Amino acid sequence: MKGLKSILFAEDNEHDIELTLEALSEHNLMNEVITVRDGEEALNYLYKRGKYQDRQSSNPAVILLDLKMPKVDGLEVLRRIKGDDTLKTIPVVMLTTSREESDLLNSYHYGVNAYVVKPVDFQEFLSAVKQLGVFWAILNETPQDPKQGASDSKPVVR
Amino acid sequence: MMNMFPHKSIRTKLKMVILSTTFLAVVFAVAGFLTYERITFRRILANDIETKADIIAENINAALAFQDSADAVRVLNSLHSQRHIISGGVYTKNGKLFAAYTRPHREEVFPHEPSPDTTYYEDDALVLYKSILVNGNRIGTIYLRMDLLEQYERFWSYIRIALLVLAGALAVAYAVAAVLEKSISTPIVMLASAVQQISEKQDYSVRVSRMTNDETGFLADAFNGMVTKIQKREADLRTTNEALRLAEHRYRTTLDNMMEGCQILGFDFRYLYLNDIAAKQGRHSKEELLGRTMMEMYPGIEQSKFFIELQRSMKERIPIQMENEFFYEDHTSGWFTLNIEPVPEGVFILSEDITKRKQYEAERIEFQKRLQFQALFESIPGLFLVLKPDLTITGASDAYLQATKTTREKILERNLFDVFPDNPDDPNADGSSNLKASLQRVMNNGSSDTMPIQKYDIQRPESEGGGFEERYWSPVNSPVLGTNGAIEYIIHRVEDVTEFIHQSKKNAGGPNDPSGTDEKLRKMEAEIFQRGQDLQKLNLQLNNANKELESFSYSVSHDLRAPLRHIDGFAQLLQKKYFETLNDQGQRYLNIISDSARKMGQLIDELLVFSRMGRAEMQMNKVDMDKVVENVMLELSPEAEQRSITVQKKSLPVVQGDPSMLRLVWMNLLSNAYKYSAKVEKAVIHIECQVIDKEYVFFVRDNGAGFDMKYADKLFGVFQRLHRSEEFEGIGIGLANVHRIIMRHHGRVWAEGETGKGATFYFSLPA
Repeated sequence: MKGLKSILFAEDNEHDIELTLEALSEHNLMNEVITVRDGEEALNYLYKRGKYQDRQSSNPAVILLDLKMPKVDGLEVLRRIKGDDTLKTIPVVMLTTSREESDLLNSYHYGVNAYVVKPVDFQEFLSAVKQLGVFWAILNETPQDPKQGASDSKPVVR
Repeated sequence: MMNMFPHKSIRTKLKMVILSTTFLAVVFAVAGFLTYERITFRRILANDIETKADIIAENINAALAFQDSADAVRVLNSLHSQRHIISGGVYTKNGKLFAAYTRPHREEVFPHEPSPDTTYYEDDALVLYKSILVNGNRIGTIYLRMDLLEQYERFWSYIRIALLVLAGALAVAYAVAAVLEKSISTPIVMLASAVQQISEKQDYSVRVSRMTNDETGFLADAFNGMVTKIQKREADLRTTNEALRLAEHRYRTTLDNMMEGCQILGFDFRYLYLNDIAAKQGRHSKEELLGRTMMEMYPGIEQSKFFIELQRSMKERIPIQMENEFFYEDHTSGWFTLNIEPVPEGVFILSEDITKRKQYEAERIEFQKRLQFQALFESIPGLFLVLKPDLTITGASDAYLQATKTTREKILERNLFDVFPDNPDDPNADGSSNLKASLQRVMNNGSSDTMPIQKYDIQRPESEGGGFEERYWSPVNSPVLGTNGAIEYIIHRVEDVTEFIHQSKKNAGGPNDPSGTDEKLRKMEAEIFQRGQDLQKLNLQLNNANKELESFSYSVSHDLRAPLRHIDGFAQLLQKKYFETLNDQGQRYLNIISDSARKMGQLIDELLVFSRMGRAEMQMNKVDMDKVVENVMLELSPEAEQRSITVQKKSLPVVQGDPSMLRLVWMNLLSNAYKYSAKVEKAVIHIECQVIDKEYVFFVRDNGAGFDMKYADKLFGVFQRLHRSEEFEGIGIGLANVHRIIMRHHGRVWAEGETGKGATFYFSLPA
């Protein structure tokens, strides 16, 4: 799907990945979802390093970040993205289990665009992921990716 | 007298005077002469015409007597030779014209009859009537008319002569005037040109020469004398001015270059003069200050003591000396000694900047005080160490140095732990780490920290053999806060309790002394010490436990919820995707799995709120309980819909507490009251506060389900319930929260109730 921006999804727990992808596919979101398993991999993807060094696609429409991940945690990834002029326009959504005040405050301090606590109830979880996907990957407008030029990248809903 | 020729020179004027005098003299003379001549000539003419008449009468009387008119005409015609006779006639005695003569080419009218004898002048003629007498008898009358041409001719020739004389006289007079005028006007003209030269060129060396002995001579002398005086005065003035100018210059440059500030103020406090130093002291440029007033330049100066003194000096014309602190616009200040002297322009101010001197003085005093204080501090009979926040040693009492067997030189400006390391031979040495922790607490909390007795061995000096010596200390660390609240120093005070510890240990291990109370006392002291040590350990353990609890609740929030989510998620996926392969029983099981997972999620969340309530910082503030209760009831109002609930609320006080926590208390109590009175037909909820023994006692009473007092102690426990959740929903954490919050407010909670008759929940807060 050329022109349709992807969703970068960073999550270490395989069950959570499965449930989240299930939820996204449930709502027929056609954006490609790139799943990375830790913060380091997420940064590799964004900086086109390691196995992503040949990445041709534009930067993702939105990054869904888990807080607690091995190697580099979600807060650190967020801090790096928002501290980098070429990346900081990408919306970052914390998708986490933590309700801790300190996690919330830190995330907003580093400039997170949204903070969502995953509900235990699967129905609520489905609706939360749907809203997130529709809002951030489709409704939300971001500045043009400088490296991609002025290609038309309007998302498509099937 | 009016000057007729104001612009003519004096020479011209003199000439005009002489010439006009001469002219007038000649004219008057000629006029007199002519008048006289006319009178005389007329008389001659009258005689002449009478003579002619007499001759004609002599000749004509015969012709008249004989009435021979022809003869008469002949006689008359002889008049022809007389060229001035215009006409002539002879009348008879009866008055009839007998004979007549008229000059040729003239028409003459003769009078009808003759007048009596007379001679008179008409306009241009002389007329004569004369009787012709024979022997005394008049026989007729002669009439003659003569023109006056002769008279006119004479007159004009006289005029010509007079004019010649006049011209001659004027010529002579001019010549004379030219000579005379010079002698008078020359000195005056010279005087005038001299004056002009002086006035134009300021040349006072000009003199006029004296030419005559008359008034002009005197004038010249007087003029010369006067100019000489002026010249001298002028020279004097010049010298004086130069001297003045030099003096002024000298005085200006002296003022300009003085080390002190100099300024002259006018009576209106305007800056008339100031030197560079004064400008610098005033922090304005000369250009800004000159011509402006002090009030313009330094608004508000009118209120200063300096200005009042300045005014006094200005008004009373007295010199004033003072020391003054001058405040600038930026609120900094400078000290000056001021000498204010009245001067003709206003006042002169000599100002010397003594700010540095003042500072130095203050510093010197401060330094001396400090020296005194330091000496005092060092000789104090206690063991004190003064540390900077970076833990370098900046002061120590002599007693401390003595006790730790060191000198000031060895420890000052060095780090505390470099100077006092742990005893390397003691594997259990924890003195330095404990001290570090205590100092850290002081810096974190900004308050004193009393340490339990520490074993902290000291280094023996080389002179005493080196190595470490066993020592026990009882330290207290106190912060010294600066004006901004930051820690400036830490005072470390210790007591050497080595002796005491040794004694205690000996006693604890040694044989019992049956006799002494001393022994008992020592034992008690030793026990107290041991308890203190234990307490310190427990405290540490408590802190660690708290930290563990925190990390536990964090992982509860994060790690426990994840599997729950997975349970629910996959159960639902199973139900959705494999719906057909499950029978009703299987479906029911799946539902139970989902419900349980959700329930557990809820429990975890509530538990987290509860734990947070215990950890959260209290935000103490004034809380209006009336308002809080009204708010909470508003929020609960949907629950009251379609129910008959009477709320009786009495006025509640304003208390000190954490607003959001107290709100939660009311929320729990009131929602409980609503909930447990749901099955009563007419619910009544009563809210009140009473002051009992300096405490506010709040209570909420309902007429609902109530409870059995046997189980009252379980009411406030976590997850403790007195009703099944089928009866009343809930997870049993609300009252536990109430309990915890009120405890943190140093209050109490309790409850009274009876099954089926309602319950009353009380909580108290310090008034």
